[in-house]
Amino acid sequence: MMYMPDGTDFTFVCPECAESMVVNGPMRDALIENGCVVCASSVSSQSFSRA
Amino acid sequence: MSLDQQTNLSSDDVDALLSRHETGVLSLAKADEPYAIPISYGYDTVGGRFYLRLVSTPESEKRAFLTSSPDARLVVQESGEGVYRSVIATGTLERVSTDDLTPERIVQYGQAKRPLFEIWADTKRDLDIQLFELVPESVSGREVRVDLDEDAK
Repeated sequence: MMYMPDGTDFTFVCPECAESMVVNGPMRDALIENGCVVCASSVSSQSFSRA
Repeated sequence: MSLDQQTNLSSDDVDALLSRHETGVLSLAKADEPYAIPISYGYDTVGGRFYLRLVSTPESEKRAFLTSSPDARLVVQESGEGVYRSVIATGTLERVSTDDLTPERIVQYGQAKRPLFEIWADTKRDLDIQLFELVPESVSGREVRVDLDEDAK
């Protein structure tokens, strides 16, 4: 699911390394596409919740 | 061994070498004490920056050298069939906070390889992984060719 530019922030929690951060929509899409920025593990949309 | 030819690599050749490899040796210094470690990196040919994930513990020697944006030198080298190439990048190693992440930076770290992670015994949850960027002040590459047939005589 691609980000809709409505200004929504998301809380990301990596299922592997437990890194947590608040991200905007484009960052959420980049994480799903490229993996966790900290540990490089795969990331799915289930790793995000609305902040 | 006879040295036949020694040339400087062009910027395109430097970019190509850095792009086809994913590991190098990162050297840091604190006062007159040296420290060198093998690392994995991702390289952005457009921005000319290196993206690194470094694992350390509060008590580790590595952590002691990673404080306050240390001067750094990264060496990447390859060799084969009488050709030896090396690239040396010198600059400052800057820590990247997750507060400073952008979609573009996330993409760059996504391209950074992580083979050295595989040798860590701890789970990722137990590792302290920090993000860094090496912004080179200078990058140079060199190629040396030797005549292996001549050496065999």
